Amino acid sequence: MIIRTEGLTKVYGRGKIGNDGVSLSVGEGHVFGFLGPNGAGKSTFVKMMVGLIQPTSGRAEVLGQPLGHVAMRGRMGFLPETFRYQAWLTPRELLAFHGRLLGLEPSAVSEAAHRVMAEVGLAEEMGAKIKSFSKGMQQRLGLACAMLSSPRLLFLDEPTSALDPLGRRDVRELLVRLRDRGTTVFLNSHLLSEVEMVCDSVAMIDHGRVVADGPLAELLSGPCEVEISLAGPWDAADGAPLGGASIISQTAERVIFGLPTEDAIPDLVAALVAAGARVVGVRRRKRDLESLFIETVGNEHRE
Amino acid sequence: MSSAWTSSAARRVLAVAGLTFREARRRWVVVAAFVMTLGYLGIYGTGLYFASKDIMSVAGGTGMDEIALKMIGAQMLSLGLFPSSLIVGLVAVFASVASISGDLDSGVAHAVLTRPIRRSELVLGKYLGLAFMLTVYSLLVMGAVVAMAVGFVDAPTDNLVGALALFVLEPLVLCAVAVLGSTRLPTLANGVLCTALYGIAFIGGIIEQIGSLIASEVMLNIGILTSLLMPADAIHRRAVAELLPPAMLLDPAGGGVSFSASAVPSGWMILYAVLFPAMMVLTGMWVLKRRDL
Repeated sequence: MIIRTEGLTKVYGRGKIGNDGVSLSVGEGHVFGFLGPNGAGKSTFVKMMVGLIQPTSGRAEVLGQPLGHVAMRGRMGFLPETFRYQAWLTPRELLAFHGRLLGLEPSAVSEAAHRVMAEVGLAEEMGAKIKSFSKGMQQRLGLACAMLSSPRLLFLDEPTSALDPLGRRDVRELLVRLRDRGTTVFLNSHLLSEVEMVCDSVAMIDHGRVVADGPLAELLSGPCEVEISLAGPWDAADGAPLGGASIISQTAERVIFGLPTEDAIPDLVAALVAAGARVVGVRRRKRDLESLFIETVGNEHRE
Repeated sequence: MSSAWTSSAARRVLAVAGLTFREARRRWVVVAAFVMTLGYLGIYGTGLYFASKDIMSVAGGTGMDEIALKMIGAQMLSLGLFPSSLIVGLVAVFASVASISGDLDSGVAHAVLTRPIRRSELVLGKYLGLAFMLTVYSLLVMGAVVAMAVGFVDAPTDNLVGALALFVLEPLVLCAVAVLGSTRLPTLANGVLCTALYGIAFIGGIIEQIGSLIASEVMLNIGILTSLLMPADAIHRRAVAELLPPAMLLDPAGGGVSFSASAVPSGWMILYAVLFPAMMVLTGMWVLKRRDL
């Protein structure tokens, strides 16, 4: 595990709770999505991981080291949510400065700088003043800066907040490339479709507490709905054994079944066919991250 | 702690110091101060030039003796020193008040402090970068004032090196307080606090001088207490005394003693003032280390 926390809690002044007993494990080489409504405690968690704030209680290890370990940060990259860089520098100067903080040799910094700038599509902007950059370009630069040390673990706090749809796609592709190279990416985001596209595992946090956690495929499995189109009427009262399936709605030529798991779909179809139903279409209604998120987090917010 | 770590720590501190120096040169407060300083030096120089012409014509007519001329020169230099070091002191405060707080507000510090750098290294680097700029700046300003007074009105200079060293120390003390404040306070509050402290030190200095003239123990102690709180004014008074020993500042007309040179702070106070920036910077490191950012 590249990140492991146990009961990590952060209470700010005046008793405001940032994180409440967060226990998480992130496996190496994963793109891990950390989701939650605004103010749920996502940034608090990441800030504890990168050593900007100290937990009130609980334990945590990042890259095999306790929180606040200084040398460990050389193997880690971080894009803050409120990314800002010295506007009067050029990317070349900024990256040279960060390279010196990382203890890299000047030649190695220059090489790494060109690599990461090309990776985020800013290769041509190496000598331009950062203050002339658009917000999206600054965010790309922030990504480049975070990747400068070829980190094993990359924390990205809302990395696409300032990007247009094309920029978001670029970043998604970048994250996949990073994962393919073995980098672990910890992605804070509230853009659910984005997380669903790139993340292997996710955790959801609300009011500082983890409310769901696991591999994405597992979280999205579980109860599902199947829409079955029929040629001709079919009556549930015919007595077909439906297993665990329940009928959610039914019209003359279309029935929507609820099933405990996706694995039950073939059996349901077989049972229907055996009972004489003329099945012409089966459509699985995919449970997506948004519905899961609303189920898990949304209900609580409606209280 | 291994020596490899120490040397890489030194490299990180220097990286921060270098960037801080470059940034300070670009800050408009520093640029504005530089322009104002040039203007101020120009006015002072012009004044000295015409004063020297008048003194020479008057002296030629009356046969004023050399000691009296020296005393006039000393007086004119002493007149120039206080506003100069006031300007240098204010530049020191305003160049440094945002050193850490500004980067925390903008978020620049978050990207830096998640690198393998200790917070103490950031504080030290910031201080050293500013201190370097202020050393160059204060040497230029105070050096120019002394050079003009010597050149135009033949002002005497006693311990020039010692005085210049103290004139450099004064902004370094103010800078250290401002850096410490910026590890905890918002920029504006820090600026107000540091300027107020500087003012308190100045008033404390006046109280101490009056106390020395009228031999009031209480007033002397108030002065010493404010100097312990903020030794900037004590350093200034000692610097003036090094450059122009009190004897040189007796009014040639037979009056009292020049204001700024009476109640010369002791060697112990100067030792305290030399250690003071280190105490402030160390405290700043300690404060920032404990803070949630």
